[in-house]
Amino acid sequence: MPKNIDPQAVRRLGAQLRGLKVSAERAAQLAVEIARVNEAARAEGAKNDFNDQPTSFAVTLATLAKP
Amino acid sequence: MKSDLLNMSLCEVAQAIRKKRVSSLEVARACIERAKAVQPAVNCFIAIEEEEILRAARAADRAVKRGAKLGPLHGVPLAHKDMFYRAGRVSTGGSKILRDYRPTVTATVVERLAAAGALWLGNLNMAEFAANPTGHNEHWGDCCNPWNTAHITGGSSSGSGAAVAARTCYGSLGSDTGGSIRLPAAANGVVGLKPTYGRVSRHAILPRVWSLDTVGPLTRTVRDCARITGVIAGSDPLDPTASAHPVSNYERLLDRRIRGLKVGIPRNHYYDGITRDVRRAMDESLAVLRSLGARIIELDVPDPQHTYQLTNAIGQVESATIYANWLRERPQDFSLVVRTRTEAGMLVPGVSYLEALNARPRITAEFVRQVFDKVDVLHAPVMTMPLPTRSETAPGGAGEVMDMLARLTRNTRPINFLGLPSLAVPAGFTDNGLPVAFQLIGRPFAEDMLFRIGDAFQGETDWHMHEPVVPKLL
Repeated sequence: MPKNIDPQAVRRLGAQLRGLKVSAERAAQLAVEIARVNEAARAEGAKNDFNDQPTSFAVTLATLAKP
Repeated sequence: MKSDLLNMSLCEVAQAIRKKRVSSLEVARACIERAKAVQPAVNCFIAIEEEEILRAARAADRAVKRGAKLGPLHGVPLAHKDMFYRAGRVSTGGSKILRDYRPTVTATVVERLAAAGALWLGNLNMAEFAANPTGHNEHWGDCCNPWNTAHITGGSSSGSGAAVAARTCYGSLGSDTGGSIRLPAAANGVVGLKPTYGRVSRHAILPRVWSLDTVGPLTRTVRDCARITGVIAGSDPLDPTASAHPVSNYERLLDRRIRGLKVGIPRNHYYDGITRDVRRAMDESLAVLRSLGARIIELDVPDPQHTYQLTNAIGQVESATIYANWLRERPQDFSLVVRTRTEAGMLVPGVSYLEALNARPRITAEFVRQVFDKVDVLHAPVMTMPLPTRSETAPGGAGEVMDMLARLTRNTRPINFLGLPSLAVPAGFTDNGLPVAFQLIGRPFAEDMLFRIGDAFQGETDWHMHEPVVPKLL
């Protein structure tokens, strides 16, 4: 289960960081959504290596192509 | 005669124009007439450029007459999802916000199609900002399925699927970020290629998610798809993500010999929840491949379940970045669906976004080794259920609607995360009379293998020859 995120914090940070104004109800939905995404990324990130970098994806595809 | 012309494949009509059996002008006129006839019922066009295409067709005919060197698409009318920029011409992205947007640059793929001789019939309807899988569009009107206008076309390249199926043009460019070429191809009974990430330049196209966007053709035959892909694929100095990996001569490799090739059937995930009629179509398509000498091999594939949320992390953050200014300055001009799908990206931590991106090479490498060390391609349904109606999937619907949308894309989204090529091929009809398709998934840059198998399948079947009867044409 994803760790809960406080909808109030979502509402406050959304407004302060990005000027995002949402209702309390919408903040609750966003909190669930963000928690889900964040947990999945964190779990997968635990398997990443410190040398990994996003640009290596293109190299990976080229390497995996049939010779 | 007009119907015969419109039922020709792209390669056939290109050959007929080249051999002077038909003029480009006749072909363009037939396409315009058909486009105007189906538009009231299907709404697949945002703009039809009648005068421009007639002028271009006359010029194409003059070139044939004087014996000029002709490109592989010479004189052939195509129409494209309204997101491929042409300098000075409106490109709406299916949105209200870009209703009058005139970019100052032209997409590399547009330049390449023009250099190959293709004509531009018009701009096609699409999901707003390429952001939904159904074909609903509150700004330009829903695009309706030509097989049954009560049903969805699939999206986001909704107009591309519908326009090609309805015989208004011989091919179309679409884009695929989570299924947006394969879904409308499957829903409309046409072929659609989502190429390997980086196979086709994305310079000067409307971005949706930089890390997942791909550009590819929708056509009626696999050979047509191979021809267009051969024209547009390759490196591009204007797009650093476009790969320098060599482009095969896709058409030359279509020898219809697939004996001994290994076609994998996933035991897990991709057939979960499949309905009886879709299953039947899949089994029949496999029987055809087996009869051609392919070896059908069942295998376990890495479970893609965890990739959905990783895809969301990437997609939400990148699209929120792309739309950030508009979300702040004119949020009312987005549909509620697009706005709400994008908002979360504002608050996903940057570290989570990069963790998702960094996991991609490892997950893709695992998938490719586990699957493509054993088989040449993977075969799976594009969708595991019959095509729903527009009302069943209408924006603003209850939780069931979201569940249905997730189900529509469950077999397409993982392939975008993995960056692999996938070809959607028509495989018959479900019990509700609507098209159904399988997808062939390959290792990176194995588009040639997908085309070979898809073309061999079409040599033995005629699903791609079926033509929808659009209400206006009855």
